[in-house]
Amino acid sequence: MSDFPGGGTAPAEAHDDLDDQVDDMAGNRISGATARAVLNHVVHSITSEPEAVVIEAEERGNQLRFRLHVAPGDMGRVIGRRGRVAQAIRAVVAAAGSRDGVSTYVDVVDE
Amino acid sequence: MEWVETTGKTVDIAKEAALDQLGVAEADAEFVVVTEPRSGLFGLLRGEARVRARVVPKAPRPKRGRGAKNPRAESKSKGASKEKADGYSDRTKSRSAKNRAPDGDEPQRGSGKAKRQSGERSSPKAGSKNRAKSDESTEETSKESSNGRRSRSANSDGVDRAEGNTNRPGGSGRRREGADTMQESAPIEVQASEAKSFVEGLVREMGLAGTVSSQVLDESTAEIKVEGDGLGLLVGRGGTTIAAVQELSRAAVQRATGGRVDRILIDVAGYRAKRAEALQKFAQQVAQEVITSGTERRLEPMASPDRKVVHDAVTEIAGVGTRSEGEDPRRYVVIFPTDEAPGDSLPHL
Repeated sequence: MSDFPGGGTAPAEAHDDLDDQVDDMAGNRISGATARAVLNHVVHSITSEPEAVVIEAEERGNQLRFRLHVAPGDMGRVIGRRGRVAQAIRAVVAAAGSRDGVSTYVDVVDE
Repeated sequence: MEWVETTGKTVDIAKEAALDQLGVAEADAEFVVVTEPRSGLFGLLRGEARVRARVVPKAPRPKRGRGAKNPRAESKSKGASKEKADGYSDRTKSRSAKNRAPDGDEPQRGSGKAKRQSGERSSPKAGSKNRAKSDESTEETSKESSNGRRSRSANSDGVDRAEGNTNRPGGSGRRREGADTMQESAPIEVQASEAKSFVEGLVREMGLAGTVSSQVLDESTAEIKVEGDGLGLLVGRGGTTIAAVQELSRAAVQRATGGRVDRILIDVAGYRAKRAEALQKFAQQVAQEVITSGTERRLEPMASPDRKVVHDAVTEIAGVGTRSEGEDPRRYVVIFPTDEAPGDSLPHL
């Protein structure tokens, strides 16, 4: 357990799919990019199967609704006791979204 | 560490009251349900729930406790703390099966057997969950009733499993993935480091320019500080975003270490200190008004750490007392006048 990341690996992995999302092919910023990046970072940081994480986004005007899918075993972590973690995710993503000028909501999808 | 005992209409409410008194987050406390309210459908609860709670001490450490429920375990110093904690719960039938499993995975070298036996003896009653409690995802209370039923019948099963565990060589130490099984916490330095890297990532993804530092305050408390300009976004109205970041940091540390998470405090741009100070002054001012007017005052809803600041600020003042009412997140403090003559009151609790 001495190999914990002082600064390193986890955030980097969170970046992977992110770079694709931040800019479209022409290099334009996609709306809500900050919110997406933050959601991505958070969810990857708290799930034990980050590779199973899927984030869908639905945009309506300046509203951005994320649908978050995680591995069944991670549902508890992502929701938390009485939804506390889910609420925290929403709060942080909303803060990030305000930088993009979008209002956001995050649904944790139970499938 | 002090135990507090609270009551409430439901176990949940009683627990919230206890957290309030302790001024810590759910995850930092351990509970013993002393009495569950008589079951029934919603609205038909009769009798009050009574719980006992305290701040989880840095584990492992021998528990000084009331009474020798498990005298045998007493003689074993280290891992014994856990099972003794278990012994506390006179009435928590619901826990036995569920929580015995994680117990077995805890590093309780050597002391397993004695404890198992004593545990077994008091078995239907001595189920427990104290450790498991610290995990954000163990939804003890909400599952309370259904579990109670299930595991009562599953009791013998729980015992069997416990028995089997004694044969396990040396326990298995920490596991990395263990949402449901709470082990020892990782060293606080490790937790601090994990929390720091989570927060760093967050600050970066938010596109903010802040410097993140971590500090170990004591053996079970770490503080992560974000400093810089333009961090208002990360504070949020009334510190709500800080609170959210704190919650998520805990989750991230839990994921990364697989162990129990100690206290992780997040501060952004010195917000907490400023707010605590302002809140303290405000509470004292209201207390004076209550003394003068003789009528109680209800403050606006606050989160548990803030309520703690209020309770602490006001207990020092003679002639007033505090209590919390309502349910989170709308739980609030009431400052009320007491008859005690100013001067002869001691802050207690």
